Amino acid sequence: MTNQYNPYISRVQIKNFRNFLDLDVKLDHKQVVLGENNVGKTNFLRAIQLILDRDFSDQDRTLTEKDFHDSLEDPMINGDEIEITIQIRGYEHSNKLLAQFDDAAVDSDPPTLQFRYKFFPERNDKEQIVRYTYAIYKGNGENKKFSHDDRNYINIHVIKALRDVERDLRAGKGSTLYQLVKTYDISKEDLEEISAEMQDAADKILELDEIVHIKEALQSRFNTLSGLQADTEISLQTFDVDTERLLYALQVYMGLEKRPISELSLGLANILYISLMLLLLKDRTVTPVLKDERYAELEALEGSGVLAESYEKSESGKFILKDQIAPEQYKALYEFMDENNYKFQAFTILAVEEPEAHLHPLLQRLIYREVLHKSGTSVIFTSHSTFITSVSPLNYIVHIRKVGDGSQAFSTVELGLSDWDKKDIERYVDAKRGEIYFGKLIILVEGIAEEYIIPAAADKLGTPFDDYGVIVCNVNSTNFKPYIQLLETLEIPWVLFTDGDYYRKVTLTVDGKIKTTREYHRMHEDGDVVGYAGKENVGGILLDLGIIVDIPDSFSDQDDIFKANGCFVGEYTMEVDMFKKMDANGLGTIKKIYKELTNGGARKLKNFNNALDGEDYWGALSKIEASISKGRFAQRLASEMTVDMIPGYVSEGIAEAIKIVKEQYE
Amino acid sequence: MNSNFYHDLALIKKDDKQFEAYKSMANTVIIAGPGSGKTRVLSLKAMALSKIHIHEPSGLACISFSRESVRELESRLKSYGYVSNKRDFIGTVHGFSLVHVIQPFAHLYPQYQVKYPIKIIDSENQQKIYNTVLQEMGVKDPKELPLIALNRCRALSLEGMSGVTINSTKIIQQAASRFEELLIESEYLDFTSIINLSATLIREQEFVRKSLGSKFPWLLVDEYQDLGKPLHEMVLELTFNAGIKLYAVGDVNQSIYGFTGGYPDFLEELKNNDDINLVELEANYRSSPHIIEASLGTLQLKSPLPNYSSKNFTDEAADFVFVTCKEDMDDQYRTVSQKIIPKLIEKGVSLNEIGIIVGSNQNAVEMAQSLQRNEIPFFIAKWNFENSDVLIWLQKCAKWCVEREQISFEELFHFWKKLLYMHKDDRRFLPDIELKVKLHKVLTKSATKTIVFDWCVFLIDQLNIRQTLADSELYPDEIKNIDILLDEARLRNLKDAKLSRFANLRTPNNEVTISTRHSCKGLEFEVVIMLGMEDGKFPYYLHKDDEIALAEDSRLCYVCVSRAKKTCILLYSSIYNVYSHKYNKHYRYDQSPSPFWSILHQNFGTNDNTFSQDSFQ
Repeated sequence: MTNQYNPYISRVQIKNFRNFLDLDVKLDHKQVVLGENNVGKTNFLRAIQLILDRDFSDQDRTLTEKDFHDSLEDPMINGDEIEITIQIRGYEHSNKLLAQFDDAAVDSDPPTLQFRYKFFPERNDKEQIVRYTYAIYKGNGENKKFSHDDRNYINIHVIKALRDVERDLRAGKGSTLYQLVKTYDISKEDLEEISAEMQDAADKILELDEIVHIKEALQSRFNTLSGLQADTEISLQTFDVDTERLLYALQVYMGLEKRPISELSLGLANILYISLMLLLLKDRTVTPVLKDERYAELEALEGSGVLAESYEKSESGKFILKDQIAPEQYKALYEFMDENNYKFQAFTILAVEEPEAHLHPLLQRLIYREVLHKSGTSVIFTSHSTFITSVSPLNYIVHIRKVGDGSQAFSTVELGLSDWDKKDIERYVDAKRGEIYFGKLIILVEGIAEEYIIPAAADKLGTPFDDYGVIVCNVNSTNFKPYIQLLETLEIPWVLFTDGDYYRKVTLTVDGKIKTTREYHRMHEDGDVVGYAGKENVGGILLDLGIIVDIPDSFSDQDDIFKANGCFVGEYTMEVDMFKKMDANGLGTIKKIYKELTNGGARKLKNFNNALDGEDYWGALSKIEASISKGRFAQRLASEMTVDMIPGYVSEGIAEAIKIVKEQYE
Repeated sequence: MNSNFYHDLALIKKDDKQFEAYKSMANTVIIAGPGSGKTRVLSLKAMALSKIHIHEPSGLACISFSRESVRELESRLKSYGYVSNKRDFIGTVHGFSLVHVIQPFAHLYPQYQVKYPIKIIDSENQQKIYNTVLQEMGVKDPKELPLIALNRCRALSLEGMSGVTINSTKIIQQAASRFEELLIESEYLDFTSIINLSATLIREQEFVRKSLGSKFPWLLVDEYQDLGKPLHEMVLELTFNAGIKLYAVGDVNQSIYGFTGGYPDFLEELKNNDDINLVELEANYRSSPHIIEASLGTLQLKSPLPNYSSKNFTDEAADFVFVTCKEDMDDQYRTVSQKIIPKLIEKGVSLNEIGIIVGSNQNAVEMAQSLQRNEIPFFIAKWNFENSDVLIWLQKCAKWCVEREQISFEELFHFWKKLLYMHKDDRRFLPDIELKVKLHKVLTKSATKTIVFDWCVFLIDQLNIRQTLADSELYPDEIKNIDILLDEARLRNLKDAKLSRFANLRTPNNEVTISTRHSCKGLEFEVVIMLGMEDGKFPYYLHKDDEIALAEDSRLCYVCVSRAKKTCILLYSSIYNVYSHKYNKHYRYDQSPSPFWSILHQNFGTNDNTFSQDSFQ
């Protein structure tokens, strides 16, 4: 069905509130807020609720000393203030919002509203603090106050992590389903007709012989007891079918067996609840079902041509909105209805804390796909589920993390990646279950061998990655650039390891033409004209991203500047660099592993050992690739690692990574 | 309270008297001379009271004589971070009487014969009653028994605590009480009866006093000298019999509305009351010492003279210029447009700093035409239409169109909604949001009309304002007033004017200001040009034998001269031509200068600053 996108929060600024000392983050229409426990995901929502939640009382909005950021000493004696500013975009399609929030506009391109909450000291004319109070302002300045009436038009609904969905789903006046039904404005006559029929049907019970017998027995017993008192005739009735009760008695059942909610798994009930919420929060400016009289009224108005194209008459004579409507037509229809069909319309932003609660991973993914891609309601999720992050579009991520004293949020809204790169990373993130978002530092590597060896090296060096929250991401190529962009945007620190890919330039004469080619996979010899494909790649990326402005000529200067920017480049390829560094002991280990993993004969082993002993490391590596595979080999080597085996650039890079994490958290 | 508040507070701390006035927590009367910074003191006081000393559900009451000074106070408070609320009242004495006295209380006391719904008399019905009175009394020439004199007499006849008595002639008293009778018989109230009734309710009904006392622990009154006897009685009752704290600001010497009943004696009485703390602000932050001296000179005040000291200038020479023109006002207009203003421009005086003060609305229109012919941009401080609530709202709507961020749409909407409710317009039943959308759309569309006339016509038509105001009980003359505005916009001084002109009707924008003598109060200019300084015109010949009226003209002149920071230019014409309908004949007569001119010339005139129309350069 065609959707109208509801307004959304496009920016949040928080000062001095709980986890947040000074936060400024841009948001999109759908937003997944990630972060470890205790960094302030819930407080981030709470900040927004202070302004937008209709269920908050005056008392809820009046903060206390505890609500100030911990780093502030005696905040309410020193006159510190808590300030929360949110901006809203995507509202200009609604005349009601334009009129209601004229005073709140702070920008016209794109149209942007601003609301600002302030918890501040009121002072007397001697500038002494008299009391603390809160105020919410619209727009710039402090002359226009935000009122509860404003909250009727834009607000937020938070579904908490600990929720009792069963209660909300159960039939009754408070049920979500009933609220949804009420938005449809069902005609009283229709209901009365049905209730009369139900009454008739139920009355048939009274004609059952058994019931008649009961009635008579009762009557005769009663008569003997009450003597001659008048008007004591007993009659039996079924029930009085209240029309309204017909509606709130509606319940959802599931499956062929029509299981009631109470028998559903918590997970399914959650899905059901969130689906109902999303339906409830849909923009109803375009009414999905119109009664015939109303349709006729609207049809008589100017510009109503769009109605006929958009509605079809149902069998009962009502007009039902068609499923498929072209976007331009929907826009015209929306404008027409917004202008002529006055309906109260609240625009609610839905926030769901930990939607993964009680959900099977597969269902988590499904619900996310549904909501993030299809819903017209603006939704904010908070989560630490990797299943959810892994299906989040790249631009919808807000990452909350401790930086120094306070928590900071980093968002991907303005991440400038090509569609191809974006798709690549999304697929990667999906496959890796979103782990890239959860590291305190990310190590980018190009292949499976590094993925095994580098954490093992860190263990041997006495700095296990798990202890420091370092995560190794194997991007399976040397296309590091989009990943670096993503990490830089989220301000997640990173370190990169890549092969040097040494080559020699050779000049040949082919058919009388001079050609220069590169020869890889060979060891350095004096007199070679050399280059490093790995360094060229890294230099290009850093230059492109504006991280460095110039690449020095000498290779050692290049190494210095790369390292200073977190890039550690080897010489040949990692295994070769390792072999080259090993003593006889180390090489012995390699030979042992080779032996264990191949089922070849003595001759094959001898050839391999000869290659190693003869310093033909490339030859040895190609034998490993041919009969074991680099991955399997690295996996085994990882468990037999010793410090001596670790190539210089790897140990340097690990040390740097650990240093960064330590600095960040001290 | 924001940084502007503390900034201004720091400023007044430098002036002992101002700070004393600010600090005073007892009943206080502040006598504030021209340029003494009284608006600042009053606004700071109002802000401090409202934020520190008055607690919910009580509020602050701020009463003033003119809408203009209310507006000034409101904008100053806004700059201090004040946000209006339902508890406080800031407005005119009429508004206060209607909203806080008559509407809530009059129905409890049938003896006052107030008819509901409350209807305010329109000019036609008022004229009818007035004509009946004239007829019954056998008076042919209305000038002998002007309506304003009847109303003044009605206001003065109110009895109460004050010891001030100002008597009217027997015949006026008689006419006034007849007028009163006829008005009570009618279904209407008029502005005089609103205030009289409200003063009576307060005086006679303890419950009313008690309620007002709990609602408003403080009463701030600005422009006290203009407010007349009924307000004075209300103040005395509320202060001494209801425990309300009084904070009154005024200047006896700037009392110029005696013809409406606003005599300086009432303020004088407060001043002399031992139970009221008196603070006199004596520093003048506006004018040069000579202007102060000169303005006091013309005043011919009874001693002792106020000891005003100039804080702005040290010993700069006073700049008086006397120009004698040949014939009629026309020569004065011409001299101003063609000689004086070009000369001032040449000297580097900006147009905003020039104020032309004339004797009547008619003179203001003629002066404007002359400036227009000479392509000098001008601004009229007093228009033919009344700056009513509705017109001020229209101006705010225009301002929203041209400088959107300056105006709150919500405020515009609330006034409109109030208007619909007050007038039982059917649209009041629509949901707020629907009305809001309607107003928003009309305003947004109206912004494409850049000429005042087109804009007004569009807006008035689209919002059906005429329909709303038809048979208005509270704004009976509003449609007429709107017609005057439209007339002004179609044919006169707002003809072809840009919408921004209308939006900023109260502030000159690199324009010369034209004002009548009465409406120049509260303004200030580097150079003031005073026209029509002839004997018999100023002071008015009918005031010659009326000591009280004559004293008021002196004060009026004092007000005019004290508008000037540096220079005061006076003009008069030595010959006048008039046509008499009565005798169907043209007269030509010699005209001598005003006595005010003569006194000033005696003191400050020299060969260097005295010119004829031709010799001025």
